[in-house]
Amino acid sequence: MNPMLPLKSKILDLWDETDDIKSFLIEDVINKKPLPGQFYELSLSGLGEVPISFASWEDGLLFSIKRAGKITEYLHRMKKNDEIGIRGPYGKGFPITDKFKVLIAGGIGLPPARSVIEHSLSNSDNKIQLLYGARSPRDLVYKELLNEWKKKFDVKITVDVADDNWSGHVGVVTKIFNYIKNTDSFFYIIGPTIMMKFAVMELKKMNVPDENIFLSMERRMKCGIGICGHCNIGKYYVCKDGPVFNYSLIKDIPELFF
Amino acid sequence: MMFKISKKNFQNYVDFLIGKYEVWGPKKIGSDYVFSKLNNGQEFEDVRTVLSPKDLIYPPNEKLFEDNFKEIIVLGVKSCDYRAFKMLDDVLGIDSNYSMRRRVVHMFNFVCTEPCKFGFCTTFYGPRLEEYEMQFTDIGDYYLIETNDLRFVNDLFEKASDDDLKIALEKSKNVYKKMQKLNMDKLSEKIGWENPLWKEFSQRCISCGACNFACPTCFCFDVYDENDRYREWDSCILAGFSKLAGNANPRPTLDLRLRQRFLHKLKFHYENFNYYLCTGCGRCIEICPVNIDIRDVIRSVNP
Ligand SMILES: Cc1cc2nc3c(=O)[nH]c(=O)nc-3n(C[C@H](O)[C@H](O)[C@H](O)COP(=O)(O)OP(=O)(O)OC[C@H]3O[C@@H](n4cnc5c(N)ncnc54)[C@H](O)[C@@H]3O)c2cc1C
Ligand code: SF4
Ligand code: SF4
Ligand code: FES
Repeated sequence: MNPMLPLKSKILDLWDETDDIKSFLIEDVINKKPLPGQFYELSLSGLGEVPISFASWEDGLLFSIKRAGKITEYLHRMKKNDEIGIRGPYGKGFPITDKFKVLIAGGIGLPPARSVIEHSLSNSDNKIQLLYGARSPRDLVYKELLNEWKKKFDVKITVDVADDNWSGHVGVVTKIFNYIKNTDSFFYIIGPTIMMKFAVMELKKMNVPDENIFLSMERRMKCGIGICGHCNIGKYYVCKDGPVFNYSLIKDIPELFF
Repeated sequence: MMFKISKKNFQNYVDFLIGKYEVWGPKKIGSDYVFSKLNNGQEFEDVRTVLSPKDLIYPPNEKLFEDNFKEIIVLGVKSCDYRAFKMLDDVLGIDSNYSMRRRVVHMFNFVCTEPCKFGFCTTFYGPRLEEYEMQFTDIGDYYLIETNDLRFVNDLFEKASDDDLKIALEKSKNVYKKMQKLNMDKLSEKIGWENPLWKEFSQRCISCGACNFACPTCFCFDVYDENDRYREWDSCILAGFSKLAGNANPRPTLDLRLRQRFLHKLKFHYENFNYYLCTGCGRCIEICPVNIDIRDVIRSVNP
């Protein structure tokens, strides 16, 4: 069978998270428990495919997708019970560890962070801290869940631009790095390239060793399985060797952040 | 096993193959030699073509998820092209379209006895193969045939002697004598991300992508849908290759894309597989309209 052939699945449910992010609950016809940080290729027959990190795996696969271009636009127009193709799970996820984990998520980086959080909580491990930055209060995803999480572990949220009802932090995510309690943690960073770049710079100022920093990288993808050549960062293919990389492996690659 | 066949009988052998299989080989079309379907043995000429036969196993554009592949024989393949398939196997081997065609497309190597104009195969592996289905060497009035595959052996074959092999080896050595061998010593380690050539090349490269298309080892492809799902050879020289939604691009300028092309071949692939993603076929050099030459990159590191 061709490894790029998607399996037919269906949208069990879908709902708006924000103005431009929708969540999709999809039947897991693959039936393989994904590891936190892994991704799938979601496929619309006759239109195309996009790589999307899974956010949750319980009654199906949960994806939260931001409208960013052609295929994600089509996805946003889908309805409950519509057919969707799926293949995966692909790539290497975040390390599973007893260590304290500081999750630093920007924008659409929260869904993959959620997969780490749920994996930990389901193993009664709440040695987690979440630092989450979004554009504005309107752009925060999983609002109810964030409140639930706050009861279990430390959650700090910041927005670039506040509105009248916002009483929380304002500014980029590095502005709330002073809440990091334990610099001997593992740091999992997921977000836009510019945010990852500054987050790493701040962590280095705090003397966090390279080996404790993990980044979820994003590159243009086509195959998802290391053969189309699109997603490389130096000798690594993000789809196969990543998307999660230990910073020490990739830090000297000039194209890392752009 | 070793055989030989006279040049006269060789045409009959090709006719015999045509009777059983679809047979392809270099054929003159206009002023160029192109791999084409042969109608009879007379049409075959042992010449190096401008383009490799990569497309016979890995078509420039194909519908994915098909499974009707026909058995064909390709004559006149050169070692630089054949070796490229061994490299593609390491990447595309997990793809069923590629691997199924790889099984049914038989490539017969015709050993070069004279260097081609831009080739530098002796820098890597040279004109003879150690692993082959059928290997033919022009030894004068005869072709020496080396094979372990009895399927393609024919009554027209005669017993070959060690002397015939000696002549064949001597003939291929001629290529070593006349071709300049480049110094690859620790190249993958020594070649840096920064090199003044990237900028220099970018000032004349016209982003035509011909280098990628002519290269037997380039494997990158794009996937797109048009009712069905297709894949198409892609080119790392083109701006869209690494473009993300919202127009972000890790390689926004041409010098960075040229760097990717050369570092992929001479550094990254080596780091992953322990060999350079280049067989020295010289096709990218020959086809480039503005004389961008991979040998200059190698020489810039190891003069
Ligand atoms: C490992 C990984 C996980 C991701 N997880 C999520 C997620 O959970 N939620 C989310 O909203 N987005 C996620 N993305 C980004 C998402 O894949 C892109 O937004 C999407 O591919 C854009 O496709 P498009 O057709 O809408 O845009 P277009 O610009 O029309 O893109 C055309 C094609 O280019 C490729 N492409 C374009 N942008 C990207 C990109 N950023 N990354 C990879 N391929 C791209 C895709 O093959 C796409 O079909 C992830 C990306 C990666 C690499
Ligand atoms: S890089 Fe150039 S010389 Fe090397 S295999 Fe490709 S086309 Fe031939
Ligand atoms: S063939 Fe030459 S001009 Fe064309 S893309 Fe390649 S390097 Fe540039
Ligand atoms: S997406 Fe094809 S190699 Fe990574």
